[in-house]
Amino acid sequence: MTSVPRKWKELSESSDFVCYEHPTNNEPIFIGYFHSLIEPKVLHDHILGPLSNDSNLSFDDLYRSIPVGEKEIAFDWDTIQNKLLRGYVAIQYGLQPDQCMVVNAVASKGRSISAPEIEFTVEGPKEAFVESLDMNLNLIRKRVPFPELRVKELEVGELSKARVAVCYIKGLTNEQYLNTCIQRIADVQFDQITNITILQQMIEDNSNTIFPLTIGTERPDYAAWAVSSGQICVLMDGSPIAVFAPVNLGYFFITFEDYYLPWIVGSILRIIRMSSVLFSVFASPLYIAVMTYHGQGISNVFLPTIVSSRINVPFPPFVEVLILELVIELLREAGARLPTKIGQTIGIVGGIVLGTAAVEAALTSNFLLIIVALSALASFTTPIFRMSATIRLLRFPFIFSAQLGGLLGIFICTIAICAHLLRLTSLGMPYLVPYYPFRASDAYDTVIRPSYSKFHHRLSYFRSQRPVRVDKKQLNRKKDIDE
Amino acid sequence: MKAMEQARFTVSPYLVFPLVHSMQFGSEYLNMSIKPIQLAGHDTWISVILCGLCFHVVIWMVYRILNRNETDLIQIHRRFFGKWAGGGLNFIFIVYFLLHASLLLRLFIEIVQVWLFPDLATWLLASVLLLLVYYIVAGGFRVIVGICLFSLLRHLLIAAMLFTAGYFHFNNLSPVMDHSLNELLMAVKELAFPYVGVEILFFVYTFIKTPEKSEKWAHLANFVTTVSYLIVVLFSLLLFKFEQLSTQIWPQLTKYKFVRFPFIDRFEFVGASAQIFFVIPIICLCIWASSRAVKIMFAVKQRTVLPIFLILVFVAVSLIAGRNHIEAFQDLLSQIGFYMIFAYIPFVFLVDMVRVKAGRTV
Repeated sequence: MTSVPRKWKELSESSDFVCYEHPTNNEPIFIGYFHSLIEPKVLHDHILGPLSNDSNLSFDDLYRSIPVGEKEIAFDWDTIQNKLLRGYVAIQYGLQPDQCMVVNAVASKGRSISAPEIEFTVEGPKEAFVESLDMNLNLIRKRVPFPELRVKELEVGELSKARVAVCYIKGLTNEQYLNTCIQRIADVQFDQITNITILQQMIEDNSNTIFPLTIGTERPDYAAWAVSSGQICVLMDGSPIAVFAPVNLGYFFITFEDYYLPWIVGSILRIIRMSSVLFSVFASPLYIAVMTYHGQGISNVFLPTIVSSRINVPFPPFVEVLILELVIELLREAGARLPTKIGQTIGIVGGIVLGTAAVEAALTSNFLLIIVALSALASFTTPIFRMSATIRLLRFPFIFSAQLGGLLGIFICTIAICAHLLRLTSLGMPYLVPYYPFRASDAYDTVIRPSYSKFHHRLSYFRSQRPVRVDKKQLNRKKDIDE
Repeated sequence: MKAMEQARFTVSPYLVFPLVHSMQFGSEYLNMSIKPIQLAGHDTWISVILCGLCFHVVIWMVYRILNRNETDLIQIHRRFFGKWAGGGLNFIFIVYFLLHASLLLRLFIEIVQVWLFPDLATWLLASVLLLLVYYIVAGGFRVIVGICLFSLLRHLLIAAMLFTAGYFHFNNLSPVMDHSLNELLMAVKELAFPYVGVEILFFVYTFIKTPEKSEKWAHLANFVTTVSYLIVVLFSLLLFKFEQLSTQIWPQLTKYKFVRFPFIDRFEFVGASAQIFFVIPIICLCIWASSRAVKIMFAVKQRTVLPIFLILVFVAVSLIAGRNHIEAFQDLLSQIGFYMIFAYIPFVFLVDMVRVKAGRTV
């Protein structure tokens, strides 16, 4: 090992770096690579193969005879080193040459494409993003075979040097949003970015909020839809998630499945999901407000049911709610950290045994148990994971303010949350659009997912350069009776 | 001279509707009918319509003044009356807005104390609400308008009053036109205070995209206010006898006692708590307008003025002790408001006309 190039020696301090001299009659040939990164088959068949057949191959002849597309001749050490670290093989003639060829032999070991697990779908495609960026880009480009779909690649993190790809459609995506997005990714100052969710937090407009300001999806069909409606999609190597922005609050309560179902069914499911969010946030605070302050407000028909169920409970409603909410959060957290099979057991043990026991021990009332369990269930209907975490946490300020001020406290808290939402933006787009600022033309795809004949325009708040999706007249051509 | 704000701070013209409407429709509507009913009796609803019409004229005047000068009242004052007199007038407006915010806050706290929490300390609720106001106002004009838009939810409360229809006595309204025109006009004067709020147009004008187009929305806002007040007053007259009404302080809230839902028995709890949707937008707009006036007059940051004004309002609110104080305070403010709307705005309008005539001859 005395005769390898000097700079290669530094690399060979890590034991997975291999470099050696290939025996020839003329000047020595040096070959170096990280054996942890490359595919040995490529090295053996395409590089060492030609060399061992004819050991007097010149540099140019060898370069020409390697049947690999991604190869290049590099001249400075930085490029060579970067390529080596990305799974290339470096071949060099002589000890101090002015050129060195690098050949891609990266090992594409990784998960193969599997069905989506978080955003499960019945009727949609059973493909989900994987960890490989190239595979993910393939999944998107397959769905948008359109020459104007552009991919801009950037690198983030001083240490991680992760490849980040920004996908957009030129001439359709708004340039201002695009520039903001690229600028923010380029400005990221952090050494190790291991997953896109870290990047996501760094490029969002406001980091001091519990509301997510970008959406991460594992479904390529959703990402392709987002790109074609004028949003920007960001992918990162090593992350099985595509992040897209700008988004508004309403986006977090729709699943892409809504678009695959007949519009009436899809809309009803969407309405159920949205009202379940309201229920999830307001149910237990209202229970506290009523039981603590506004007992007279409940009608005679309803009151005995509630009162008799908590007649033996020694705690005030606030403590009762807090205990039960914490138990539910604990169960959820424990279930999430355990392997699936044990997780299920925990769910059953916790849900049924603990719940029944708590009621029998008079620690909590039946009525509240139903409310809390239902609202926990309702919070899981939110399809975006980050948002469902937000919804679960959002309940707690309401619980505290209900204890402090009853119904009035809930109203004050509502206004405060509302003011907070009004202040948020996603890539500069108001978070509450199209409700505020109100856009009547965008009202079609909000609470209701209407028939596709209404989808003739792109949503105006994406400020797309091509606002028209389809010609309205063609879409809505109606036939006369018996025509 | 155009002095418009940057496009990203402006709002669309239609947002003038929630803005003006929520500025007008404060929780003083709860007891608006007491005094006019003493004067005009069961014909008060005619006065409500008359008062609404008067305000349409005032809005028309306001837009004539603003469209001609294309700037807000703070600059108009300086232009018309010079630096010192104009500054003095601006100062009066600042004080007026602060007093208005204090009154509204105190009225709301009183309602909470009477209807919900009898032991609640005034300063405690005041400080919580003012913190909320700080958070909203610090978000800027667009956030305030968003809160105004959101607060339109309150119309559900007005709609809830329809559930009282079973108890209506239509005989209470007859005979129509039983009172003289003079009595009706006196009632109009008493009714003016709940309508006050259009003066905010003078201050938000530069924040509206194509403000000339917003006039119809301001008129619509006033129209909706008039209709809502008409409903409020008519329902009071239909539900209560004249003698009963004169003993009520908040007939509006008492009315909610008639509302019954399958599982909500005492709707007045909801009614009283929901008054916050009437109060918060007005306080925010008042504080915003006054701090902005200071910002323009003295070239200081609005962010530094804002906490000072909130503390001033807090002190004022804590100083107003009981029902008598509040009533005296409200009388004072309704006098100021009345003369501001029906004397000062026409006066500015005339000055503006004279200036235009003089400018033409020169």
